[in-house]
Amino acid sequence: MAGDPVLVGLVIDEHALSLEELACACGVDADWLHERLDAGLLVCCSGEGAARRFASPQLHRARRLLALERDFDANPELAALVVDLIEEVHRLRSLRQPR
Amino acid sequence: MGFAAVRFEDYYQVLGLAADADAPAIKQAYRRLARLHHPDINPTTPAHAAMARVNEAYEVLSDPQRRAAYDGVRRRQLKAGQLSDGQPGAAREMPGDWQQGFQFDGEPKAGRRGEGEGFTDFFTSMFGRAAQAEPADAKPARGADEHVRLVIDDADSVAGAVRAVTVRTLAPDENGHRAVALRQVQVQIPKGIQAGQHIRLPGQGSAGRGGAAAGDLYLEIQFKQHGADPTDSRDVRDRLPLAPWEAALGAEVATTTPGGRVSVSVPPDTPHGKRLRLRGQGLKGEPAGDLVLEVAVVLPPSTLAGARQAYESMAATLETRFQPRAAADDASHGR
Repeated sequence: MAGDPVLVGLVIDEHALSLEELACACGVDADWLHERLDAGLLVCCSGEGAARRFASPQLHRARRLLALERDFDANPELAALVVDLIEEVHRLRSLRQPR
Repeated sequence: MGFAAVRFEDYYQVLGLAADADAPAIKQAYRRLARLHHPDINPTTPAHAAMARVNEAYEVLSDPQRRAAYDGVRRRQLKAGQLSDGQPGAAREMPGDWQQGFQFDGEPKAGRRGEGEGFTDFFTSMFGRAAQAEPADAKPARGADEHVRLVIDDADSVAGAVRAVTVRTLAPDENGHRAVALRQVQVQIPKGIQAGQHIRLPGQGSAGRGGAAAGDLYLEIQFKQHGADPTDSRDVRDRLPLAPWEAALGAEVATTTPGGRVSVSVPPDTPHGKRLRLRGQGLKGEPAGDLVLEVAVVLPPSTLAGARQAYESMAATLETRFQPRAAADDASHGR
């Protein structure tokens, strides 16, 4: 183990993912993402059309949507509402942290 | 690979179900437990482990083919007296020949697999390998991307670090079967990485089929001190070791922040454990986080030249006037 090479990865917030890469990371077809992007349930962090890019917050969100849809048979809009609420709870918790 | 040490998992017990539960009951039990242990609701490590077991149980019992195979093994366990219906203690060691006459072709479904917690050895032995070796003319398919949550210290982000990561991937074994394999890799944690960010390691996920490329490995960074949300703090915590005289008399000491070296003013009479907050010196962002330094007073060993005399001199001067346990004694007597 000590002699194993040290792998240097890419921080995806500096090397954002394409739509196809995000689909692979979530284990879904690109169509699954297109549907949620078209419905406004998921947004990219930059770019338009084929040049859209996705970073860590979008990867978190896409995987949360997928898990909720899969685990609870939730429809995409309901899953997005739950994810919105989860994100809001996390935002409020971060404000409550003593500074 | 020997299976003698593999422990039986009672998936019905994990989901709190009777062995004749129908599909809707299985789904209902899974959803109830998924809500209870969902990582966004319950971010603790035991909840992650419980969720992994629930996922594994559902993975098997929700699939008729897998369930039938599992029920067969379970019946044999019951018959052999290794298990009694409804008894506590779900995990029991399996006899060495428990897989005789049993074959299963399939892989865990995408999305519910892995997540750092992984499947038990029982699941891996039973379902983690395809029954048939990959044919030479298999249609090429890229390997699956894998995700691991990596918990690091704030200090790893401040200075950068190398950490070992264990990942479960699917790869051909020595016989050409696709099997779940545990692999450990050494990963560079980049300086300044924030909680919630992902490090992508191309080609370190599951092996591809038919000569196609392997998937990628994604590491989701979490910091030890933070709880629920990996995305909500840019604060960095670290330890600030001080000599006793620096803590007692006050001092200017240098320390490392994500932005470089800075000087910290330590006020006089700073106790051990006190936290000093340096605003805006944490991780970059809008707003930037703070650097929170916990004071650790480090005593010079008495063997150090001159230290013993200094301690003896302090004892002679202060012994009657300084009672370090007075506050604790007062508190315990007041109870």
